[in-house]
Amino acid sequence: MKKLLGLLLIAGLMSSCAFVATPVTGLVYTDIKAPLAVTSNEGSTKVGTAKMQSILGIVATGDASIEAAAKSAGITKIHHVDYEATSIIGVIATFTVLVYGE
Amino acid sequence: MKTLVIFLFGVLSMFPLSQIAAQNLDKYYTRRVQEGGDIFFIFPNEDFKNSVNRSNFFFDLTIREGSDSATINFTYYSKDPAPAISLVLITHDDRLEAPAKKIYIDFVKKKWEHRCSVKVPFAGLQKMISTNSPLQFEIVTADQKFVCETKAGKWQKYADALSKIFYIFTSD
Repeated sequence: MKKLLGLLLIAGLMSSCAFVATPVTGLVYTDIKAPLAVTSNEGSTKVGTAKMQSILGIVATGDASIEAAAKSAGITKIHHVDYEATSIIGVIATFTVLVYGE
Repeated sequence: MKTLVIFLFGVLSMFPLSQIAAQNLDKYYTRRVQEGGDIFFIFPNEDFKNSVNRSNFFFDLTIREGSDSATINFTYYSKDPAPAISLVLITHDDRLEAPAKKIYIDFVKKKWEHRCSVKVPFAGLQKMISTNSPLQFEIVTADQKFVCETKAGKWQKYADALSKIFYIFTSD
């Protein structure tokens, strides 16, 4: 078990880090916000979020779909969607979707 | 190697330390400017635990200019389906109860996931946040009550940020 964990750790460190999709990438530190989509619906009174996370590029979990974010606030009419991406020295990367609507 | 270290140090020193280390309100909330009143959305707080079954309790806050109420959307987990009737916010000296409205119910990882929404008076919430007493949430169902709480230190840091956001909200 120890050997397996060691191998996984080495493989993770050698092959990849926890990077997140962004328009601009910071190798050491990333903390950005950007647009994802916009609709013709007017105004918004609700905001919903959904996120996913990666640790060392080895394990990645979460549901950051627009559907999940809209569901979290009971949004049925989407006005626009933004996202936020953070990454700290390739150890932890988080991708959060923010849905605005009614 | 030495050159690489100097290069990385140079790159890092271009960022103000305060941007990375100090309390940055951006990580607590986002503001959308729109006709009819800006929306302030305070990101989900994931520090709370249900003191009965030790499951997670998440909540986020939405406040809107021109409205005297705040919307709290919250998620809790239970072994049996236990829809919330109301949510009670409790501090040492104060108590605020609001009827809960279901957003959805789901079954995730052997537990019932309940997502609900309540509207509370903004002034009452602001008053509770401004006290030093840690906030507790009590979820009231038909036959049970779950108290959700966090560590005092974590709450203090969060409450400080929230007070500043509320100040920005009310001073506009």
